[in-house]
Amino acid sequence: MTGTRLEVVADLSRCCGSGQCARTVPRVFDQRPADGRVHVLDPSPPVELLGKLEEAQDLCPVRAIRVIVHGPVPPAPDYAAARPPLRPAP
Amino acid sequence: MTVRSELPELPMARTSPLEPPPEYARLREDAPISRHRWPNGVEAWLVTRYRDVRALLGDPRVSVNRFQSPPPSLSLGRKSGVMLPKSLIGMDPPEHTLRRQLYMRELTVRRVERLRPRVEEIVGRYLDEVAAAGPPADLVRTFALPIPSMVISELLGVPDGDREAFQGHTQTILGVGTPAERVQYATTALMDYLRGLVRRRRGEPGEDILSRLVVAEVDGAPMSEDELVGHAMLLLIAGHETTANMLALSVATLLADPPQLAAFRADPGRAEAVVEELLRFHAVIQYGLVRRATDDIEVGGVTVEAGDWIVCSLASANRDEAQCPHAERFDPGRPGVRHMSFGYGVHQCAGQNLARLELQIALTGLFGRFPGLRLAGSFEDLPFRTDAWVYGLYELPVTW
Repeated sequence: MTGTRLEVVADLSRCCGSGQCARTVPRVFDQRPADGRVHVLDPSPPVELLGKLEEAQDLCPVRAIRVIVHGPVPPAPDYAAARPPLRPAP
Repeated sequence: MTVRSELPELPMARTSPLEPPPEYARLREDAPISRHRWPNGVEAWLVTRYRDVRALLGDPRVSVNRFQSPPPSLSLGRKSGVMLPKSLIGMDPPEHTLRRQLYMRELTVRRVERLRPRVEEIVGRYLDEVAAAGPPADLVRTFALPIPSMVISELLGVPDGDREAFQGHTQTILGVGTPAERVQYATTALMDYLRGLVRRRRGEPGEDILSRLVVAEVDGAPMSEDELVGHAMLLLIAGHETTANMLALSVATLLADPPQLAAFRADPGRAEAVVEELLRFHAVIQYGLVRRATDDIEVGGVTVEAGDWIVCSLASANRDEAQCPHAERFDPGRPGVRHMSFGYGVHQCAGQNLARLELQIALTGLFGRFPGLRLAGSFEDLPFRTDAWVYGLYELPVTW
């Protein structure tokens, strides 16, 4: 998606070291050995990661993660279409 | 202030063991935040919607400190009678913040992942024992209880030679129908043991969590023995009963859902998604998290006043349709599972990554080892822990 770039900001003063960001998007988030707090590995991650980054933002228990979209917002993936059903529809 | 006799009483009853009480759904709809009376007579707000639970648990105006007056309680009398030292779960920031940091660096995603081979070994050992003893087996006693306890003893650096005694005491504390005196004895014995271990570690720290806590400094000084024993007991208690019960409940849930079990068996790589949905489906802290407002808070259309007790229902939040479509369905295929089973806010479970690891490995291991695993009796006869603070099973008789 041209013209769109992502920016990831983490607020260390809010961070409580839960690691949910690191668990969700290990490419972008790690935890500091000294205190378990967030370390942003890539503050300008690829646009394809937007969905997972928003998940990380939402899962953070103290709202320390912010994902900023610069430029046109890409459409949200259609989850229902993307995944095969686990069992026949009722 | 409030009219006593008019309030609905807690706890509410389940009508089906794998479902939360149906009353929560009605409350989410009609009275998402409402006052109830607890068995010990204390009144509290009951919060049932996902967004309100999330808002309150993340609000700095709620406190976990319950030492000033009796909090709402089930009056179960948790048997022990031994005063546990004040711990992290009763502290607010800023006292809480530094101490939590000491745990979190030991329980990061990376450090927990490094425990994988050891957890696999521990699970393997108990599976070997169950297999060797032959069917039928009680998976609570032989599998669900011992595994988390052994993992914690590993984490705390309990020497191999002491593990059996350690296991014995922890099983006694969590045992069913154990006389209060025996629980008291086991608790005291465990605390004495941990005190001895703390002293040993002061002289010779190792690589385990306890050693690191022993050498750590808070406000420029090492922690007292009492405080260290408190931390160790918290790690033990918090990480044992919850994980053990979640494990047993997960096995029962999968055994009761043949298509989902088959899907899991066919693709054990989905363990992460299966475990996350199991966590949403069951909040073993079944009566919710207790908090106290330190200021007036406007939430969900009501004003919670300073000093009011608040109980956030994790189970209800997990089943909130406004947050999760078809919330009543157990569906590991759902994208972006959200749940409150580990809580929210600065007190969110410090051991959650470890809990996930244990559940993933134990469930994959169990169903991999016993392809023919099934209940030894009927589902209806399974004894669920309806009256305990932590939900689960007292027994899980299986055969293969």
